[in-house]
Amino acid sequence: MDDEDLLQRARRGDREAFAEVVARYQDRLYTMALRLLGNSADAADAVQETFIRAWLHIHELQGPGLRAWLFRVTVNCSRDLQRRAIRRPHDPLEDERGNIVELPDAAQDPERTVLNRQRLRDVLAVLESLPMDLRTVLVLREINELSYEEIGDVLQIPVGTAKSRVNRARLQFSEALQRSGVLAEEGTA
Amino acid sequence: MIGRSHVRKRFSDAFDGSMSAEDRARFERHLQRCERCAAAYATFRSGLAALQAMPAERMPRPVHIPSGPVPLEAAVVKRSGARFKLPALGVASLAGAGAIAAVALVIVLAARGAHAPSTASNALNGGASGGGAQGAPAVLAPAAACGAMVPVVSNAMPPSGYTLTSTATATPPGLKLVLATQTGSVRSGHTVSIYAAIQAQPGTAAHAGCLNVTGLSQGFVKQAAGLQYESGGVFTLNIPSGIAPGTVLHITMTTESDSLSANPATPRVEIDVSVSG
Repeated sequence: MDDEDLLQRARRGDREAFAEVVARYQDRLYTMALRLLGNSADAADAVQETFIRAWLHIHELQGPGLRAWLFRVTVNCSRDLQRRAIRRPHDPLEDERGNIVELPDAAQDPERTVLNRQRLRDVLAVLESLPMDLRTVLVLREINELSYEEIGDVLQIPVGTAKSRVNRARLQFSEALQRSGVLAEEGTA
Repeated sequence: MIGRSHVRKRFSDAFDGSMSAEDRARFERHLQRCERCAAAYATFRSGLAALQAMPAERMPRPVHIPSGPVPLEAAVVKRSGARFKLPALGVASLAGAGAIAAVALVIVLAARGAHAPSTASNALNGGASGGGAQGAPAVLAPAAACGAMVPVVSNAMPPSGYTLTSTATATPPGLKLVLATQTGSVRSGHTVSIYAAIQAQPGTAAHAGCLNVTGLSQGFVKQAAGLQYESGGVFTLNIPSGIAPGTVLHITMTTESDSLSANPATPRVEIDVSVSG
């Protein structure tokens, strides 16, 4: 069942159909928001708010544009959250209760796991050091794997602008990562 | 021959594989001759590989969908970013008039006989502030059922940052209800700001509005007196600690044109804010 089918059912009051939309997109939106904000609670709030808005705007949403709309609203919510004066203290590898988030390769030897965790922290720190507009396009492109056309739709910018901004973000990120020493460590590992 | 800066601009094209065969060959030839560009491109690729290797995450808590029926089509306004757009239905005449006038807002706390906080009553004593309004109608004295009235707001647009907006046209023509919050979810122990106002064209008879906040839990209703007036139609609602996650707070604004008594036919705008724990 495609997005439009689900939206049509949801418009008729089928909450299960809307729940299916939520299930379909929530993790992708959360991953994006988490990489933008570096904070699990804020990221979850951004996703929660996105779906509340989707529900309130259910009559205006169209299936083909739903994905871009959801990403756009989550980006905007994330920016709003970031602008607020008080940010929650966070560790990007801890969940809301302070539990360490397990990495996918946690089954390997502990030393390696610790190294990977540290490396992930370093990569996240470099990502967070980028200006929000560059961080946003980088996350959309490299983590959410959106096309340049989709990035243009999400951010409501021309495709050419999306491309040049992604290139700028990629250059800044990789150079900052190089300066941080993460890439050098990787080469010697 | 390709310059260094030009090569850097093509890193993404090379990485994405979107170069023509001819351009790709020129790019490769340049990297073979230029160690700095070759090293820079290697760094570029390694950095992106590190980013792409980051794990996908799972939403850590259930998403709460507002309770109640599907929202009515006409009652919701499109918003894009921080820019406020007037609704397409019924209020176009307000958009160009530049004459958004008086706003009278009365707060009534949730059902069950709660009364408006004294802070709101005190704010009323500040009186109306025209602030550029033209022909602002007089502010009605509130009926007892609606508690206290707040000062007039000349421009009934939500301030920047109020992104969750609901509006509806009201009767008689020329009135529009505007209700907005900054967020659709709030943690217990935190506050949520509510913007509530009524737009009115010059010459429109004065109207009062009632802002209602109800929740699903007794605990919230008892704490509804935490609603405080700030300025210009902005209210702060204190969400006490201990409110169960998933509790949905219904924020409703209505207007009563002739009296402030409850009238089921009165236009209303609603926003749900869920408590996230």
